[in-house]
Amino acid sequence: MKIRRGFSIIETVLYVAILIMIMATMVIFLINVVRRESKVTMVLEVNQNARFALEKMNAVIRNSKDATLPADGGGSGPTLSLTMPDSSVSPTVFAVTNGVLTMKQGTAAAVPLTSSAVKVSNLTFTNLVDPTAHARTSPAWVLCNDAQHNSVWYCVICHVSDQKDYCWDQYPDYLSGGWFLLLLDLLFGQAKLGSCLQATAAKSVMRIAITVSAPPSGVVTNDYSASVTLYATATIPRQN
Amino acid sequence: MVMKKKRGQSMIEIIIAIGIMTVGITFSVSLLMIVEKGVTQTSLEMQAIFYAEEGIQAVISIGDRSGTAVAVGTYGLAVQASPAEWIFSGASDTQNGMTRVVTVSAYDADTKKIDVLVTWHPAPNRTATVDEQILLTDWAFL
Repeated sequence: MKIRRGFSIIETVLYVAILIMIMATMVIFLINVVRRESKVTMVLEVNQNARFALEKMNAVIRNSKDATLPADGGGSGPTLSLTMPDSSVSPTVFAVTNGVLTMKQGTAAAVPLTSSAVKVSNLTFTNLVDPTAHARTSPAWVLCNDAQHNSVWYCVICHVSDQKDYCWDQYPDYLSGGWFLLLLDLLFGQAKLGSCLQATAAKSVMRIAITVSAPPSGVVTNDYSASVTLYATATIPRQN
Repeated sequence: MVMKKKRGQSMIEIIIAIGIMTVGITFSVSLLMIVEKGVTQTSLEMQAIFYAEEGIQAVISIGDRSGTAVAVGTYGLAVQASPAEWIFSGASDTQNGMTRVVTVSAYDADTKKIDVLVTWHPAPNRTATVDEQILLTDWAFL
């Protein structure tokens, strides 16, 4: 019987070659797994953050009284300041600090709304209410007529100094106070006739565009990054 | 009878082992690709849902200003600079590769049906859509 002497050089070379092939495949496979896993995690993280941030802003805007920033009439910017019915949380300010969206209510410290795993790369608020849509002249009563409503007296009277935005706000007052008051005001120049320029039913129609991306910093390549842009429009009702 | 002593794996065994491994790896990689694709689709769908919902809110704001402005037809939406407000513009509008079409149809004398359809292409030959509908009543007529 022939005595075994171990491996021949050919066997060893073959063995090593096969091992290298298998190892290389495994490494490529593992890199692929890690890469895809991180991409999936980033997409999920970005989605969750963007959705939560937008839903939160939507809800707060709808429950607010008015927006002071950005300005009425198409003002646009990265900061939103809202006057709230509850003075303890007024103003409520949304802004982006170092890529993190924060909400500051009243005098309380700002609370982050997005996680540190993502970056808010763009946030734009656009305040879609035209001041001329409810423009008034100097303090006086305005008798106006809204062509949008079939009822002539539906949008009738407003006082321009009372900071109320819409003509028909004062209508019940005049009804309860009587037309006598109106006649008096007209007589003494406290009231005047005018047209209520297209009164809108909303105080503000706020458009929000938010872009959330990951990773928050470092090298961004297609495989290792995720980004989502969401749009929303929220209305501040007149009666808030 | 003299039994032949086993000396390790035969070539066939090695080939079969590598084959099984290859199939396994291919499977796992394609599974991961499916997951990644699914997550990306979900992300696009979420963007489309928000885009459609914004369309609904924009039409409501147009209807708030004037019920008669929401007339039967097919429209796109745009933000007008002055006066700053949502308006109907063109037959569709596009944002990040997504196309939004608003269709207003008559529902009854005082009510319009608003349909916002968002269409996009997740792959060159595939089309995905998100459709949202509401009924909008013109209270001025009631």
